[in-house]
Formats: sequence, structure tokens, C-alpha cells
Amino acid sequence: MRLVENGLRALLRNPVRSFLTMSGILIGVASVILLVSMGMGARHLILKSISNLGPNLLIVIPGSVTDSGAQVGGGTDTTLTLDDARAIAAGCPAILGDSGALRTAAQVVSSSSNWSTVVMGTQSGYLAIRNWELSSGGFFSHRDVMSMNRLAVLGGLVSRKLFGAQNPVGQWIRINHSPFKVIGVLSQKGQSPMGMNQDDMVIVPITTLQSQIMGVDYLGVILASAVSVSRMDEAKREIVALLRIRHHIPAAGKVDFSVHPMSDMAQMANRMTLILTVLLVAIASISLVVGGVGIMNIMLVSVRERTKEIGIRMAIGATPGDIMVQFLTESAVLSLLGGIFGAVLAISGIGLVRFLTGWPAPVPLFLALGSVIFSALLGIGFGLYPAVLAARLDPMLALRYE
Amino acid sequence: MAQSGNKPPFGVEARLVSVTKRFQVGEEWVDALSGVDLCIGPGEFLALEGASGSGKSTLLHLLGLLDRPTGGEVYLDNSPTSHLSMKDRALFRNLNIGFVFQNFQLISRTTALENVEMPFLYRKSPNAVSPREAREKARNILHRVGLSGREQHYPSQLSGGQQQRVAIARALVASPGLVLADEPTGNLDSHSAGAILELLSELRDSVGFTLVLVTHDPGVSSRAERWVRVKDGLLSGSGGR
Repeated sequence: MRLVENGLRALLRNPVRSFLTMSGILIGVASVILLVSMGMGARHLILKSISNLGPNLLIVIPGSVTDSGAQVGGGTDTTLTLDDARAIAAGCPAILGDSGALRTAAQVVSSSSNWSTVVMGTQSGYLAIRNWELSSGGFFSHRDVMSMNRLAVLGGLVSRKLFGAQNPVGQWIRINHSPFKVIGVLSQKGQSPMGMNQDDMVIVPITTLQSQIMGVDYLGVILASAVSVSRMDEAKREIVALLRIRHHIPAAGKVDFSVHPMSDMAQMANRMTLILTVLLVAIASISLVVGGVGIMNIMLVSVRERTKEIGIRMAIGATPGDIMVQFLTESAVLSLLGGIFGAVLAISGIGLVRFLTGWPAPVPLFLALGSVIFSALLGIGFGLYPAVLAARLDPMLALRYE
Repeated sequence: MAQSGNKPPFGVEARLVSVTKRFQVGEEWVDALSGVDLCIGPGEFLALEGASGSGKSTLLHLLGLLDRPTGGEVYLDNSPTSHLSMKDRALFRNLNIGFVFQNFQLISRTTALENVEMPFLYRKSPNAVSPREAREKARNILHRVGLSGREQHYPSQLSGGQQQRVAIARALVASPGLVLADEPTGNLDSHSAGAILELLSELRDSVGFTLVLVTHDPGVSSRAERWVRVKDGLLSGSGGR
């Protein structure tokens, strides 16, 4: 125990060098913990925004799938129609409701200002499928869709841009020069998982968009919601079977659409962020190893500097084991302190990030504890060679060393 | 072999039988000692006198188990020592041998008191000494060598003579049976040198350890009970009071 105390005091005599030596480990531990925490936060955010879309949502995209499974040109084909959407709603028991959708960019003008945004056409059931609410006004009905009425529901951002703080319900806007009556305003939704601002959007009846704004008859996507999350697979099978028949695709032929359950996307996002986190941590771990090498380097210098002292101690009766313990203590304490300071730094960093950006980064306590222990082991590992070198010195040569 | 820390009042008996030592210096082999036979009685004060390079320091290092002979055997209290491991040599030194060096060999970043306590730091059970007892013994021996009040001084704050007194205190604090002094006055002015020699021989008289002193100075060796001259790795003469 007194040998350990002895080692500690040697470090205190050279505080600047000790600190610089441990900073390698400090930075390594801090970055590992920070990156894992940020990764966990990112995962949390992505999963949250996916579940925000609705956990039992299925997305049907036009376009074929190649043999290898990679999607080619998805979303650009024009094979999905409004009749497909209606057939899915009518013919699939595991589907609660669905809505075809298509969108385009357009200039939207109010009496006082204008705004360039996305105009999306949907059926009347869209809001229910997306778990979306209105902040004021109403949404268009099935009958409005049937008769291609010129009605518009504004996203929160569009409402502010065009009408300021004023309630736009009942006002008129122009989309590509055609007048539309504003009947409702959407509640705030924020970013979609694909990074699009869902509040920067105007929703109109799909038929109105197809025939009066774009002049087309296809859909960009069909959004369908399954009866429950547990029946997602069933719902997907039903949609595929139904569309195969409607599109006259034989059993062996390639389909000209693809169905993506939200749960698959969540899983994929989960996997992607995990891979990313592991990759970042692997890179951060390299700095841990570099820190260990730094400790080894300083310990080698220290052994050389104190060769004479080692000789004196040996003459007085220190065994090789005693000398080894002294130097191992120094390197272990250096890296342990580096680890502890690193963990403290990382946890304060996480706190700061949470405070400044609201990023939901958790504090990985187990990881912090683990990396502190690991850094102590790292110190012993990298301190072993210098310590053995010190213990093997010839006492007589060491005494004469100048 | 004596494993007890309380060898005095008689001191360690040392015997060298046909001891040789060769060193490799660059390409060449040098015979530092070419066959030395020497008996040192328990409690004796012996001076090894010789010019530099004569092999007298090598002889002292062999006696102190800091080095192994190339041939022959060093007996301490009638036990052969050349088969001992590094660890056993260290333990033996810790219990039975005290060193005083020409350049004091104090650890500069620790105080006089800590330097003197150091032998107890490396004590292993069953001979372990509590920190409190170690401190007590260190204080006592520092008082004995005339350094009361200098316990917390660092070596750089002490004069050469005082530093050598600290070294003597460190050599004696654990009551060794054998004290080896390698040119203990070589770095001191004549006044301090005389005082240090006086201190060593007085401590030897009162405590009773075996004292072997290496010097190039016939004036110093004349203070010993017996002196042996070393020349070219051989004993070439002796005398005594």
C-alpha cells in the first residue's frame, strides 16, 4: 500500500506532464461515451419520427423491384391509380383505410403575399391514416374529392407565411392561378423521417390536383393503415395479391409496385443508426489506444529519467517486484484518472448538448463505468513493458547512471 | 543465512574465496578481480585501499550483493550467495546491508526523513515495520547523526556533509549487520570528511556492525582496524593498527 502511495506522489510532482499524459485517455473515453450517447439520441429521434407517421402505416410505391431486391426508380412510375387505392380500401380486410397521394411544387398566393411550397393531393381519409389533426377549420369530404372541389387545407408554416397571425379559414388563395378556398389549418407536425418539413405543405383533394393542377391520372403513393400493428404482414400480402390481379401480373412476373410497412423502415433505421454508432465508437477507440501508447511513451521516459533512483531503491532492498509495482501504479493511476475525467467531461458534454439543442441524448452510465475500468486496464497493459524494463535494471549500472 | 534484522552487536561475517570478476568493455574483456581471498570478521572495521580502477569498488559491490562474481564465492555469515535470485539478494540487502556512497545517492525529490525511512518501505512480512515505527526509527537515527530539525529538508537544501549524514542514517536505520561505504568522503572537504569518518567509526563502535570502507586515500584507511591494498584486481598488501 505504501508502494502505491509512493507511486501517486511521483505523479503529483509533475502535474503538467501527468495531465498531458492522461489527456490521451481522457479524450478517448470522452469521445467514446459522447458518440454512443449521440448515437442513442439519433436513434431515438429517428424512431420517434417514424412512429410519428403511424406505426401501422404501409406505403405502396409504384415501380418495379429488381431480382436482387434493390428498388429501381421507385416512386417515378405512373402505374398506381386512384382506382387501385379505392380497391385496396374495399378489398383488403386487414386494411382500415387508405389514401392515394400525389404532390407537386407550386406557387401559392394570398391577397397579401405568396409562398412557394408543396401541394399534395389526398383522399378524404388521409388525416386519419397519418394520425394528424387540424388546428382549426375542417377537412374536405369524400364528396369533395368526387366532385374535384377547389378546397385547400394549409400546413402551419404556409398559413403563417400567407396570412400571418390571421385565421385563414374562409379566405381564398391561388394555386398556379386557380382559386382555392381555405377550409382548415393542419396542426404542427415537424420534420418527416426523410427530412421534409411537413408543415410546409398545402393539401387539396387528389382529383383536383390530378386534373386541374397537374393534368395527370396517376398517384405518387398510396398510404394505407393496417387494422393493427400485428396484422401488418397480412395487410401487405393482401395489397400485393390485389394489385397483382388489378395490374394483370402473372404469378411468376415482376410486380410494378412495392409495399413498405413502417415497421420495416423502423427496423432498418434502427440497424443503420446502430451500425453508424458502432463505426464512430470504433474510430473513437483508436484514440484510446493512442492514449495508451502515449502513457507507455511517458513511462519509458520516466524509467530512464529515474534510472539512478531505481538503482538507489534496489541497493536499499527494493525487489524487482517492488519496482514494477511502483511504475505500474503510476501508469494505472494516470489512465484511471484520464478515464474518470473523460467520463465526467463526456457527461457534462451530454448535459450541455441537451441543454443547448434539446437533442435527447441519454447518459450511458454503464458505458461510462465500463470505459473507466477499461482505461485502468489499458494503463496496466501499456505500463507493463516500461515497468518490466525498470524491474530488470542491473542495480550497479543503474546506480552509476548519470 | 541470517534473516533477522537484529544482527548486531556482532555484525555480519564476510568471506571471499577465489573471487574473480570479468567485465566486457566494448570488445574487450577486463579482469576487475583476478582471484581474491579475504576474510572479514564480524564487527570488524576494514578499509579497502587502492587507486581508481584497481577493483576495490567491484569488491565492495560483490560484498553488497549488488553484483555476482564471475568465479569463486562470496559467503556472508557462512552462507554462499551466488545462487540467490535478484529478489532474495534484495531482501538480504534490505535486512542486513547498509550502503553509503561517494555521491550520497539520496532521492532528491523526497525529504531527509523520507529518504531515511525508505528501507522500511521495502520490508516484507514477517519483518515488516509499521509506518509509525519506521518514522520513529528514522527520527532517532537522524538525531543520532546530528540532523535533528532537518527532517523536512530536501537534499538540495543540505550541505554535502549533511547529505552524507542523511545517507549514513539511511544505511543504519534498519540496524544492518554490514555497512559498506564506497569513498564516503570523496566528495567532501577535509573538515566534513573528518567528521563523517569520525561519525562512522563512532557508530560502529557503539552499534557493532561490520564496516567495510573503500578509499584511495591512505589517510582514510589508516583509521580502520585493518587495511587491505587492492591493485590490478589482486590483494597486494595489508596492515593495521
